Amino acid sequence: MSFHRCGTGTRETGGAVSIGRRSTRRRSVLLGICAVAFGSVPACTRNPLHAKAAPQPASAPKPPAYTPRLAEFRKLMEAEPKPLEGPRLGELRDLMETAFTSQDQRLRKMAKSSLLEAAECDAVLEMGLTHERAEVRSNAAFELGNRKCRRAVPLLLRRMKDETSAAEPRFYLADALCRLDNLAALPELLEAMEGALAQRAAGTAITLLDRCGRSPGSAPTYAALRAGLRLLYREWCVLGRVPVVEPVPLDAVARARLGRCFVDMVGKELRPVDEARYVLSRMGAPAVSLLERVLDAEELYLRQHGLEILRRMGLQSSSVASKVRPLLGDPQLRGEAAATLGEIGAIDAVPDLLALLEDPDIEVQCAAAGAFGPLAAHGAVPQLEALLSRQETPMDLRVRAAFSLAMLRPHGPGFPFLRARLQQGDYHAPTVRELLDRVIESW
Amino acid sequence: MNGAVRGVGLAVIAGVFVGGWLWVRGEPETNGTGAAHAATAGVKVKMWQSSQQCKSCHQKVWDEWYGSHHQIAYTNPEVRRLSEDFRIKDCQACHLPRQVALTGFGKRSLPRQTRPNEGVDCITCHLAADGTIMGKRDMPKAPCAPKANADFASVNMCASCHNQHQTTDQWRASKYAKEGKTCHDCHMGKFGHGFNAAHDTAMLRAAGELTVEFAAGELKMTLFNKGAGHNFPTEERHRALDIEYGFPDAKGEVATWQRAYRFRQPYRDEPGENTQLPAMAKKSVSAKVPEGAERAKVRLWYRLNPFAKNGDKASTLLEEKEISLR
Ligand code: HEC
Ligand code: HEC
Ligand code: HEC
Ligand code: HEC
Ligand code: HEC
Repeated sequence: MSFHRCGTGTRETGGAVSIGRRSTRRRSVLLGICAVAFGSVPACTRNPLHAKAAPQPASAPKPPAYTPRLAEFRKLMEAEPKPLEGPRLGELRDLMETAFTSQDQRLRKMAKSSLLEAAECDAVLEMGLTHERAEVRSNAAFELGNRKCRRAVPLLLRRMKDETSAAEPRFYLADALCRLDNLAALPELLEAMEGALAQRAAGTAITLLDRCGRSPGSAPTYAALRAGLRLLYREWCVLGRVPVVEPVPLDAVARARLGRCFVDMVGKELRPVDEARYVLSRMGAPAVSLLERVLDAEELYLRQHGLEILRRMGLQSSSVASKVRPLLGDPQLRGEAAATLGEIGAIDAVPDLLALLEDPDIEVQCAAAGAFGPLAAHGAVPQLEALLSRQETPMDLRVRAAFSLAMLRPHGPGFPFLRARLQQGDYHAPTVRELLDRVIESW
Repeated sequence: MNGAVRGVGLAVIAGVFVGGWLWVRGEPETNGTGAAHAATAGVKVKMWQSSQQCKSCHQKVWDEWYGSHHQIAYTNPEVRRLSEDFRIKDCQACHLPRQVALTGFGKRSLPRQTRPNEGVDCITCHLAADGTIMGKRDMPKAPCAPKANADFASVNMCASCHNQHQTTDQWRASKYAKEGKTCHDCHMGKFGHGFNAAHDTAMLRAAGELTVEFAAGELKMTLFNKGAGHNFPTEERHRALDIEYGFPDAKGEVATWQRAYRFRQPYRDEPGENTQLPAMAKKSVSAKVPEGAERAKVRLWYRLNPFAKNGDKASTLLEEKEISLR
């Protein structure tokens, strides 16, 4: 299968197949906007060489007033349930193992009903997600979905990251997430439809499509189900929620678990950061309000990772565009902010982005140049063409300009320029290849 | 490009927009005064945005750095493999970093997307937060006008990236820290910007001293970390250092080598404790001598990864000793 993930802005790690076409071309109303923008950029702008100290672009938005945020997330974490302990832990674990693995059907049934009635059932099932036996993991995921245990969504996502080789638990994680109104795992569901689990996956697909008002009819073909899921996934990638279904706000435990993700992001260890990003960027709309809180965080790494997650979420987080924009004045992160604005469809930011093409920092110029393509900012084509055509433009910037241009004008000079880099081997090939892939996906 | 400063006029769009770029690229003159720059641009401060800019004036430094592990940090096949071609985004923060001064000395650097072939480059280390060049001393007359910066010249600079697995902390706890012998003294003294270390056999040999004795019927093997300013091996999650021994037959061949000890910091869920050898520390291990053995051979192997076998490219034989058991 060759789909790609939504929020394609940044490459992904961890078990990802990808799905669907790159979003919607945000065809532009931009020409108009840009004309206004051009007017607002002072003609023959300031010579950056005149700057005395770390120069900022003339029209840089004012950065937000930063506030410490980490403590807030620590506070959220207080609602995390205490881990099970003591003899009760062992008992419940045994019960779960019997319920999910015993050969004796009668025993299995009895154990399962006691398990499901236990007060700590959700906690035990959550523990089961990381059990060494795949059948326990599968069943635990299934039951969590079946019980509508919404607080488990961050854990199910977290588990998906590591569940890379066993097909069955992977499918049941996807199934549970669908039932819990999180469609981030539709690529995994589609993957399951290709293999031995095809029938069960089709069952999940039918139920889901029915619920979203996309009933596939009485005797759907696999092809029809796949097509339906792909569309649904695209919709999720833009809306961040299940169409038709009324969204349920996050409960305190789920918030606590996401709070922990934020706390992990400022830590020294790399793996928890990677995990936090994986989970948060797949939470859909419910996480956006939390992510919004980090945009004015005093803690640099919260802002940095927050921007990156929003970038991955793409259009799902377009509602925070106005909060990202002030970060174009952030001395450390304005480039990242520019890239994020591109991915989240912030067309209003085009004038600011055009101004950033003159930022003294090449890194920022490149980020801005690379944002116009994902943004479908057709109004920027002349600037991009100018950048690309001038031999004096540094290669890094030409490459980014070509990238955006190739997205905006498939038959323009951008695409051949990138191809030529591969042929001539004069720019880091893996980077060029990655950009080319992204361009082609966008067409 | 001569004069280094070039204005790039932007196309005029719809008659209202004129953008302007100014690049400083290519090869500025080496007249040592900066006059050319001042004449061209009317200013002293220019934008430093690529290591290419430093090349022509600092060719020697460039040559030392080029090909070093700093330069290849983002292209190194080992790193690309383990970072899933940098899909694991966090690897980029140190392997393709923005300038350290942007976030601050001792703090994790931010990832960049430009100059993928330059890894940890001149800009990363030398560019100050205010856009000037940092050095050990003020040299206002030099074209690049380096300014002295105490943090730049100190271990704090290296600590931004070199403390993920405690190399800097290990150094801080060592006698070298007390004596004021820094990373620079060992890693830059002889090699300049090559930052030679774990891929340099001479450097590795300077780190350890292996001694072998036969006493009380046992073979006693001791490793002394005499030369590394931190643990041996340090930092990198993959490294391992093995002492092996064997008893040669009449032809001098050892049929089976046995491992006496492995110095290594276990990575993540790998079992075991940290057995790296701290600076100036000694570790001895003993082995039983089989009956009839007349001689013993002992070897010290350095492994770039823990799975490397003798003879692999990732294994380096640092020392081999032979003693009589009579
Ligand atoms: C136009 C030529 C030129 C360019 C370009 C240039 N430099 Fe220099 N730089 C010099 C000269 C000349 C000196 C003085 C050398 C001396 O007197 O020993 C110097 C001195 C230095 C010093 C201080 C040396 C010391 O002995 O303390 C540092 C550090 C330095 N340059 C770094 C850089 C870096 C990094 C770049 C690129 C970003 C750069 N330079 C670009 C010519 C240049
Ligand atoms: C905090 C900075 C930092 C981060 C983040 C980082 N590295 Fe490194 N990496 C280093 C340093 C410093 C070295 C060299 C030190 C050493 O070899 O002991 C290194 C060396 C390596 C090497 C050895 C290269 C060789 O040829 O021997 C590999 C492989 C590697 N890193 C992979 C990764 C991967 C994969 C990631 C992301 C999961 C990563 N690094 C993230 C700082 C970092
Ligand atoms: C990993 C950080 C790092 C990188 C990368 C780096 N430098 Fe340096 N550089 C230093 C440090 C630290 C010193 C001071 C060395 C000392 O203590 O003697 C230094 C010293 C210098 C000096 C003065 C001493 C000398 O050897 O001439 C020059 C010139 C210089 N660097 C230029 C460059 C250039 C040009 C590049 C890129 C090709 C570069 N540096 C890359 C850290 C770095
Ligand atoms: C911005 C991050 C960064 C900074 C700052 C930095 N390094 Fe490194 N260093 C790295 C990375 C990453 C590697 C490994 C690259 C690889 O092997 O792919 C490395 C590798 C090395 C190596 C191992 C080379 C080898 O062949 O095994 C030495 C020695 C070293 N650095 C010393 C220093 C010293 C000394 C300083 C301070 C003057 C310093 N570094 C500053 C990131 C950094
Ligand atoms: C007394 C000399 C000395 C001092 C001081 C010293 N080192 Fe080293 N370093 C060595 C030697 C010798 C090796 C090779 C043996 C080893 O890998 O431990 C080495 C290896 C390394 C490596 C390669 C590790 C790997 O596995 O790739 C890095 C990185 C490094 N040093 C960084 C540093 C940093 C950072 C500092 C300062 C905090 C420092 N060193 C201080 C001598 C020194």
